[in-house]
Amino acid sequence: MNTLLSANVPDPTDFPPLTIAPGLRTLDGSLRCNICGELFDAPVTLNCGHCFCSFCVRSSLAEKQECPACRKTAIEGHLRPNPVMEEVVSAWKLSRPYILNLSKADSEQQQRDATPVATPKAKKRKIMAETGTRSGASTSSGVSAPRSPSKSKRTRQGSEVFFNTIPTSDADEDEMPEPSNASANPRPDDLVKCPMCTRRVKYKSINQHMDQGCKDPPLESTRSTMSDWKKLMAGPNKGKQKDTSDDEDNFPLPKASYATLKDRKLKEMLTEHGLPISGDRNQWIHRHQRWVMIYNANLDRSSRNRKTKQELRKELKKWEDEKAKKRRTTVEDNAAHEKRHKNEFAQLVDAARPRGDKGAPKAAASTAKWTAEQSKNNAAISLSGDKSPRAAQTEGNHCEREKNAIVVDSEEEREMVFLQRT
Amino acid sequence: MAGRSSSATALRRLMTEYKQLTSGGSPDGMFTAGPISESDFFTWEALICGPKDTPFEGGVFAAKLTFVRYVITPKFDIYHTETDCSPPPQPSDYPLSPFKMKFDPPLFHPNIYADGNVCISILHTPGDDPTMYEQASERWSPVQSVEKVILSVISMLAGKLNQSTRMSWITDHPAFNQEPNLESGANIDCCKLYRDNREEYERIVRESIKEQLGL
Repeated sequence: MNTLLSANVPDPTDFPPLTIAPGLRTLDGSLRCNICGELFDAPVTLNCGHCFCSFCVRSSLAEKQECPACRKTAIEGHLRPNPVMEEVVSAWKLSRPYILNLSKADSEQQQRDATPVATPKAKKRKIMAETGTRSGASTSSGVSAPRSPSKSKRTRQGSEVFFNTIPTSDADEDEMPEPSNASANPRPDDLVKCPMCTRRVKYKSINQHMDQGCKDPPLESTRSTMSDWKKLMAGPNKGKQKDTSDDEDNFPLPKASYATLKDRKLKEMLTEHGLPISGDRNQWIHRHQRWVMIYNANLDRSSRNRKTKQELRKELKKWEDEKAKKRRTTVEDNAAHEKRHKNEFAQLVDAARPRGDKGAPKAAASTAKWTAEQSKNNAAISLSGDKSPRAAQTEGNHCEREKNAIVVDSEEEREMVFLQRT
Repeated sequence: MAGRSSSATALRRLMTEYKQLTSGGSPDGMFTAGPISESDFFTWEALICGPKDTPFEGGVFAAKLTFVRYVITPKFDIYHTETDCSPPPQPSDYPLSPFKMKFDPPLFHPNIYADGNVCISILHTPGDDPTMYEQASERWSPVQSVEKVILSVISMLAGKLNQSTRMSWITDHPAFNQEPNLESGANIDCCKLYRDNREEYERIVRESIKEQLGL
């Protein structure tokens, strides 16, 4: 199960510490929900101003009606969606890998710089001076701030000549990240700004890009923002149609007081949302509770991030399946476990039996029977979550038959519980 | 979030916390914590250094953290004793509920049970109040973490420190200004000793640490 440790869990410590990249860790950390530790999903704000994922804070409020951070009383009615934060988070999700790459490249660069060669350094200074002058010259047009004004004055004439010869280049180079600026030859995969259209293009394909008149597809991030825009622009039409079709879908579901509800009503409530009515009353209640939470949390997403009811139903099903699976595995474990540890069990049973008993072999035989029957009972118990009347009855019969067996039984069960725990 | 089951949330959160603890380290390097085996992220071990200027100084204490939930169901028939009644532990709904912390070997401290279980308000949910003495503000909440709890336990071991010896990470938050709670002690004998004969208490603690270190 090495996968668990090597699994990539993104967290603030992906970024370099404060001393190298001030604020980056804090930035990533403050865009995370303090309950689940992940980037906000459907962020909502409480009255006190604290922000959490909608689903996280709803499940927390179900346990205790207070803000998890400051403990001020809070109820679900106080929750307000925070669309601005949602947008920030979705933008951060897009830019995070890019910034991570940049910071990685930066640290690599610094390592390379730690072993400098004399000539490249001199070259670098020349380049820096040039960029400085260019930026200085362009301040008049207000494109970017000057890097070294004094220098720019000194060499202004030279720079003007430079400008005349290469009119397409502009001051944007000044904004290039230090590593690519400093290295004379960017690596093929480094992003450089196209001098014509100012879009970022991979160094290896920049010539091709310019030859085609800057018409090749732009960088991925730009593309996705473009598609986002397209979606946004195309949105209103679709959105309006949707709004009119299921207007009632925009209201959160009320909480139900399940104790006062009759089975029939509960079933109706489930079928109303297209949920299955399998299982017992307890399962219905859990299903409905979970559904209300998932559903209301989904409403706290902005409308274009919202999932369809079908998707929500799938989520609910996944959750129930996982729950059921867990319950089943414990039962299966019991049977397999019993086979595997038969000898240990026998020893424990022996140890637990009252010492110096007259009919030792007889008792042993009955205990063997017991182990088999008990495992069945156990399965029934853990399946139904509580003692079914049948299981209790069989137990009663046994207790009439053999008083010792009860002691053994409880001892053995204790052992099983213990083994399961460990 | 909505798509994930509670145990999956717990697993991811524990992985995040572990990653942060390993890469960030603890304040003053006072403790380490992590899962005992890589296959089970729901059982952790923590190693805690005894805080300086306290009788616990110099000791290293191992504690087991368990992130499982024991569901207490009512008894159904008279043939079942207490232990029979507790069903197998459920996967944790951490961070909604706190974890359990147990020192192994047990520590001699007013708020640690004889079996090593730690009794500290930050590990109690706001709902249950076994001792009836705790303020809700010190209790568990989902924004607490392994790190915060262990720091809180360290400050509980340290007791009230005067300003000069206060550790840098201790903030003014009540969770970090713990003091042995004698009203609701877990180890009554230890409570009495702590109250009536502090020197003897400190001597016993020092002795046990020497013993542990094999001196």
